[in-house]
Amino acid sequence: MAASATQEQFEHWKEGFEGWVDRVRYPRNLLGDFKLEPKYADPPVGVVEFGKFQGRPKWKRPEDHPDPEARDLLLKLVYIQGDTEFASVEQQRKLLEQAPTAYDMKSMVRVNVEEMRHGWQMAHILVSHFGEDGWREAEGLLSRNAQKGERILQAFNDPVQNWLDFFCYTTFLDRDGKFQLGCLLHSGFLPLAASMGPMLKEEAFHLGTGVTGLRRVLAAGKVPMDIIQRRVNWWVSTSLDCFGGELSRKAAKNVELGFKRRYDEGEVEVEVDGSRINEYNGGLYMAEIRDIVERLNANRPAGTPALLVPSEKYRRRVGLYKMKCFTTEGKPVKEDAYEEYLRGTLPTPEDDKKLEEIFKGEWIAARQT
Amino acid sequence: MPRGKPDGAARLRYFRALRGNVLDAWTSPQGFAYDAVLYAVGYPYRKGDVGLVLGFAGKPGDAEALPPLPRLNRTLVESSYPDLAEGAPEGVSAEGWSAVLHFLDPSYPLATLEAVAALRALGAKLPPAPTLASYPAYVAAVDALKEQAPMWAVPETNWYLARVLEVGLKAFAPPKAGEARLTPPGGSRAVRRARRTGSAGPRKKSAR
Repeated sequence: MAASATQEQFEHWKEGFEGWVDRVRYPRNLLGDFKLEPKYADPPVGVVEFGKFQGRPKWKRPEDHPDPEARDLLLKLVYIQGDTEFASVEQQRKLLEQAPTAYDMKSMVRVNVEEMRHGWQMAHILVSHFGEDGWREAEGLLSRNAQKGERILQAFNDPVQNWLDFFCYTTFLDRDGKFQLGCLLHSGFLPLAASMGPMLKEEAFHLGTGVTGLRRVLAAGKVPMDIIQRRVNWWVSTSLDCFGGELSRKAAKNVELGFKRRYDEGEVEVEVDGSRINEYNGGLYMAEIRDIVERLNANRPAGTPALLVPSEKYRRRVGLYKMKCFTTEGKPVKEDAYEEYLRGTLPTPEDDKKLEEIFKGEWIAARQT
Repeated sequence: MPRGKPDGAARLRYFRALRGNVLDAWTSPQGFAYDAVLYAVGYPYRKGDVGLVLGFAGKPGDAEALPPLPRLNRTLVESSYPDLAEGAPEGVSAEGWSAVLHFLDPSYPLATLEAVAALRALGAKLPPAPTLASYPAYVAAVDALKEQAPMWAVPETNWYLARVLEVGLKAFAPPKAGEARLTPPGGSRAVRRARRTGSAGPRKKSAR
């Protein structure tokens, strides 16, 4: 497609975006002068880094790839990524009015606007490289809605009830996002790989906002640890699902065709079976969040129980442990006792009521450690 | 970077040191003091906020040169970044005005002697000390760094990029302009650990 035609289509898509801003009722006065624009930067490596085309120059267009399945796989990678970006804004938007401090509100706005920009980025790739299919999927990014449960990945339809959820979301679910972007930074599809540097740079603030928020909640000592633990259980298990099934033919195909492999690409030399790549990346994720939670625990009030990262087997909706019954420590539970077990380890309506009361007081501290 | 001759090698050194330098500053008493102001002030500013901000910048006397709070707030809230880099009231210092702007819109960088010195070392054409006249060029120089910063250089903190880069500049300043470093070269063991993961904050022993 000629560049001018692509630009024209993208301008048309931007009109649709303005409609989306109105539909989700995002306060325009808060958008300020954030620059919404696609950004590209040279990826760290110019040639395909893995798979059966390793060493060839990265593909600038989907149709340059010799494999007939390549275009559809790439299309899916791009629109699923884009879907999560707009979904996160829909999930968080109603919390703006409840921000604990002015800086927290500004931080959430920045997180939201940067997620919007990431959505723009994916839409730009779709419109620029995938013809009519790309246009349709770019429109889909704006027409599906998290509040109606229409987003592609279940995690992005789940409710984000309050600011404790927001801090967990940005600590755990946005970290899954970091891992996905980190994998795509090494993609053999150049427009996708070139999109990731600027996106990852912005994502660092989102992750910092989450971890710092949890640190401040713990330092204030007003939210009971069991309530926080149940939120952690929810968001960690939800985030782990976003890596996909531990055994995956689609993931293997993405490795074979040079599109997506390890998060630690270029840092370590390790051979991983392509079909187990999701399990490998999920393992790196779990190691990182264990480290973070261990450091968070240093901020908790004396004499309170430490936060724990739930087992990768707990409450999974995807993969090897899907719908299987395991405790947060990874021990099996009898099926008939599992529902009750989940009720005790996941956020409850009573938690929400207690939090509503707690949020009326001074529940979050300035950072002191 | 506005005018001047960009020094690519120095810039790379700056970016390589950025993550560690910011994590050092983030976990320092100065870092906590900065956060205390950050979370205390309202949007728009409330009574007493501007004094807090100017106190942090070491320019409490600037308050006298500022317009009354309602007018100041109107100006701040109704403007677009970076227009107010040029809109300082007469008699305010660059350090004080940058703080007033920064704590309301953290996209504006704090102007400090050390950050100016570091930007000069990176090739920016700026006078040796912050001035109101050169603050727009200073903002533009930091904006250029925002674009140039590679993703691997940016640590996972809740500080805006303008603050991250300014703190990095402060630590990167030539010795004459800079104060004593916040932590010894290489940082504490805890900070080195945090650097590896890129996320801010030291590991501490369990409270139990």
